[in-house]
Amino acid sequence: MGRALIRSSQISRALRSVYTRRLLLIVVVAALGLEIVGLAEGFAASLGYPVSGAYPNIPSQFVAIASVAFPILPYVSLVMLAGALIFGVIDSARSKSETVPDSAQREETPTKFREYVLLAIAVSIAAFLVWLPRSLQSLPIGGDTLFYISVIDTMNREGPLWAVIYTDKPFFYLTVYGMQQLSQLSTLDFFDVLPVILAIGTTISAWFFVDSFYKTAAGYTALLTATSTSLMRTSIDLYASFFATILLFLTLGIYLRYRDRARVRLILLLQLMLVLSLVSYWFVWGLLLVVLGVAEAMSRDRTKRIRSFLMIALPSIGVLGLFVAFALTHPPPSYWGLGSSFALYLGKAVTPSGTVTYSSATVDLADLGSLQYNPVLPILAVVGLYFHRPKNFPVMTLYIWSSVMLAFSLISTTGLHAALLIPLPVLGGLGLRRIVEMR
Amino acid sequence: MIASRITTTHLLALGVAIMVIIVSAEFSAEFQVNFAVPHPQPSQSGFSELIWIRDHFGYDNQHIIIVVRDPSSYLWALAYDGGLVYFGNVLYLLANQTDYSLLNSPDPQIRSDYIGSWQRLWVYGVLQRINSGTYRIILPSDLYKPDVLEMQSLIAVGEGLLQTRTMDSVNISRLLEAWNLAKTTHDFIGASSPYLKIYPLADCGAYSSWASTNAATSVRLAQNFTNVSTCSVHIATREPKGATTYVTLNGTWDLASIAYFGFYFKGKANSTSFHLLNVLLSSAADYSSYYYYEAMDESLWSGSVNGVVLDLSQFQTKGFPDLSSISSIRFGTYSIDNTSFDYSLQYLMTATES
Repeated sequence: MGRALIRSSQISRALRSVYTRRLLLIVVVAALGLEIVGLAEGFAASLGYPVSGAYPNIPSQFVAIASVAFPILPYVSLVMLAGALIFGVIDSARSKSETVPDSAQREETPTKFREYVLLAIAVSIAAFLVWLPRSLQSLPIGGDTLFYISVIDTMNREGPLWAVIYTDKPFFYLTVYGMQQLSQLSTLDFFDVLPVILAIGTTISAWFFVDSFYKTAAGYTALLTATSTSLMRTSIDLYASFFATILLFLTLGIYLRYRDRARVRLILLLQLMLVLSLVSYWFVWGLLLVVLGVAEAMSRDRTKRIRSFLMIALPSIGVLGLFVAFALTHPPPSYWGLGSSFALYLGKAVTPSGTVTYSSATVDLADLGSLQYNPVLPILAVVGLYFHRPKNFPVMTLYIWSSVMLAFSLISTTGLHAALLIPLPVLGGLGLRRIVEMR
Repeated sequence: MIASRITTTHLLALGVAIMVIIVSAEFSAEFQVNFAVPHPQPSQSGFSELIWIRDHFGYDNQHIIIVVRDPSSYLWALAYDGGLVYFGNVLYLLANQTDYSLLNSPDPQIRSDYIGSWQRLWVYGVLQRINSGTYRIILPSDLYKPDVLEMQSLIAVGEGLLQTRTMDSVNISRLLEAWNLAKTTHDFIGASSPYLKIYPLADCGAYSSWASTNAATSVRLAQNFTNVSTCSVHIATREPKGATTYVTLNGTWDLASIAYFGFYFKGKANSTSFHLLNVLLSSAADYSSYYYYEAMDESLWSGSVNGVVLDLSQFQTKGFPDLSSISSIRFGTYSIDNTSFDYSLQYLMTATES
């Protein structure tokens, strides 16, 4: 590790040379230029407009050669990210003597207008990209969409309380049901619009989160979120994950603002957000508790901080207790909601024949495939990690969040959802910001 | 002031940032076009059956139970018909018994769909009243493709739909037992014989007339491999990828009043890629009009004896064939790769309901 650190500092020194930096940037620009044209040609061909000729063939060939690396990309990304996380933690520990304030990084005067413009562009791109396949298809997109359609139609017949009694994500379903009622669209048509709304929500909430600690990186994060393949995969049919991701970003964003300036209304808002996260997707609620709890435990003034954090978390823990108590007194099939859903994550299900195992957790790299399609984002994320050590609370949360999700993405029962929750666009946004800062 | 802050490096870095966003957007657009597609759909006729159920019984009808048994059909039935959808084998539903073959299936999707649909029926109190007459149990035939034994519990109600008939618990148990026996032994002919009138299609004298359609296929009369008749026909063929080779038996058969076509089969295929067995019943000497069935069941080629019974109503047609004047029967093998097939046929039969 010591040798790696020395090598990395040599790279850093080389990058400080203006000419080396320019040369590197020119090579990157040329490669990206070829990739852009090649991908555009491929995209045009897939829409039925092939481009032919000797020179137009060069970018396509470049893309084809670059694509050869795609199958190993998930593993390379995994190693790169894990390596960058470990490197960041160790390097941070070595340079403990530095005095870094345990608060948000607000090193630049924000250019509010530019940030809003970037956010508006990001929102437009997200909406367009998520709408694009729906404008090309007449049937609902994605397998789980069919399941969600049946749930909302069941709520239309049985009433909204059905979601509380029979699902582990009552607030999510109630929100979707309410939106469908308000939209006055048929359920089938509504599920064409819902992913677009959620994509916009995710983009804005990612911006809101990064804006709370690194204002000038928020716009880049929003742009990378809007163009990330993880957002695209989530938009196909993982609506509950989508919704929970929005709550996750909002809660973290509010928490960082609360840490900067503790106010009663922020405390109340955070308590509410944690309860809503719990009743929307308890896996994400657990992630929030772990990330914030561990980050607080590693911060300065940890005793005071943990006490404040517990005050914020307690209402949601209490709500969970109530759900579990209700589940214990009303076993299936009379109640099958949040309080009795935890065994599902362990692959257990209650049936008329008793409790059965329907899936077993195994270590599985398959879900890292979601890292496969866009090589740029993992590279930017590593750049982001390289330039930001876990020396302050916001970056510490990012390190813990990334590590936890990276680990869960290797377990078959949580793999896909965890892989999509790795904060690549956030880390990528920090990395991109550092690249743009080059002078 | 501003100009002094903008350097070549900064411009290049800004260019990289813009290009990174464009590349990401392109990757995502490509991802969306390639992967954001509808879930694999059932066949057009299967889809029409689901829509017919919705149009005629209403969406989310709580007195209709739709039975399907593949994961794709299950999701489409849930979305397009709502209400009570059972994923599994209809005889287990009628007998209100746990289907351990699905509960312990190696396919997690099948396990999960079976458990999900079963839980839903449990929640609505359906399981206890399954044979009370409260529910109409409907099977879209093109999605479910019932076998000969399951057909004994079903009646056609038009538009490709089947409905379970009223049966007492003893008969349901007996039928389920026969079905499980057939599944275990792979002998649907033997297991369904109490429910059918069986007519052998050709005697051993006619088996010497089996002929192949090409030189690479050998056909010869062979010893029986089950006790139901005294001879069989053995076929060995090596065929190039994408080709289908046939063996043919000519004769004259009136199958107008026949419900099922069957045979004993024992075979092996030297292939790891997709392959199938074709059965053709032609009423035209030049095979311009015929019925055909594509048996894709991989277990057929395990080398063990299979008693196969095919429902004639599940055969597809080419041209305008006539069941009352079938003049030729063909068995064909197809593979997308170079493959050698080695198989035997015995006891070609037809059957009607008894």
